[in-house]
Amino acid sequence: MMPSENFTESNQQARQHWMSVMAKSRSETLIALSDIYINEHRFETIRAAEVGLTQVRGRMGGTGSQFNLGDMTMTRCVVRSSNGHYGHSYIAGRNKEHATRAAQLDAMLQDQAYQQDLITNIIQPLAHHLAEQKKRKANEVAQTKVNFFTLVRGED
Amino acid sequence: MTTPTLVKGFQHIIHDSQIAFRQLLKAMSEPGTLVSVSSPEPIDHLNASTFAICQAMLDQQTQLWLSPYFHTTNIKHNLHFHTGVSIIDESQQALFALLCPSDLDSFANLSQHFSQGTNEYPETGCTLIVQVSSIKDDLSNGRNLRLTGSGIETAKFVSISDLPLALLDYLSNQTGERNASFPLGLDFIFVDQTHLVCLPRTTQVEVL
Repeated sequence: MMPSENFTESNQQARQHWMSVMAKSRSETLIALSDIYINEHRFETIRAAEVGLTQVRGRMGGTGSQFNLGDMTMTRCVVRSSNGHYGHSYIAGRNKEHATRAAQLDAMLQDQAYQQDLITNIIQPLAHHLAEQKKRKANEVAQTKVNFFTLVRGED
Repeated sequence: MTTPTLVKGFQHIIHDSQIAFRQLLKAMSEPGTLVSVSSPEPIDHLNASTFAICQAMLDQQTQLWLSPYFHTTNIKHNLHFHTGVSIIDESQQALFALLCPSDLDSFANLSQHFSQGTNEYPETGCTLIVQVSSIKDDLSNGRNLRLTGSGIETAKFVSISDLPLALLDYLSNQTGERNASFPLGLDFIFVDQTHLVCLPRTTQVEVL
């Protein structure tokens, strides 16, 4: 038995969104929020959570040519739910519980029976919290913004 | 297009691969000794035991060659997923090869198909992992072999099923190429559902 993994584009975007939210959230919050959903389910470990390195590349100013910014630690995990859905996760850092939980939730979120419930009770609150954090940070940074002015000296 | 199905790998990757590696080391240093290896799930017709060897031995830096019997999307995908191994088409460049006995029938000259290493680096010779249906450490219905050489006090007997004549001729040095090329050569791991036995290039084989 193998559920189709042919996602439509909107399905794929939705999945990208929840994977991203779970990866960026604090592990304590994610685990606390999802405990009641996970505890009654069984998952098989396809690839146990493992820590590794990935190379982060960047572009100067977002437009220049690529350069290697540096290595970062990351943890990944793959599980299979009892309904045959595969859950994947990639998170920054070395928290294996976080990676495992994110993979388990990813598997459950692909199951129509749980999807709406989980999105409402886990993903949306986490996404809301992340947005708040981002706004607060942006606000803090904006207060210290300095504008530079230069006078045209007319040399050219 | 069917999506490949991922199967379970080692559950405790560090300990499980160390156990499998230790078993392989014992089997390779005491040829003719049967050891057991296991992994939670097989990949289609690739046994769980064979998959355990792959997980212990293969990584990004080993080139693996798959015989036609094992050259399926599912097997390739799972091996790559669990080990990161690169699967190559050119058998001469492979460090490891995964075969079943009937594949070996078509190779008249094994040393032309697989690398035996170089004089500077004889250890780079290919290790052939051959999945068979049964291995026993006594004389029985399979091909009975008498083994002598390094790591064996007097002699050991193993019985391996389905070995083709071409391979037996090679192993028992009927063609002369196996001993003539030493220290270059090929090392073999034979594996059934649960057990494996190794025949490194130092082992002298007599077909009974």
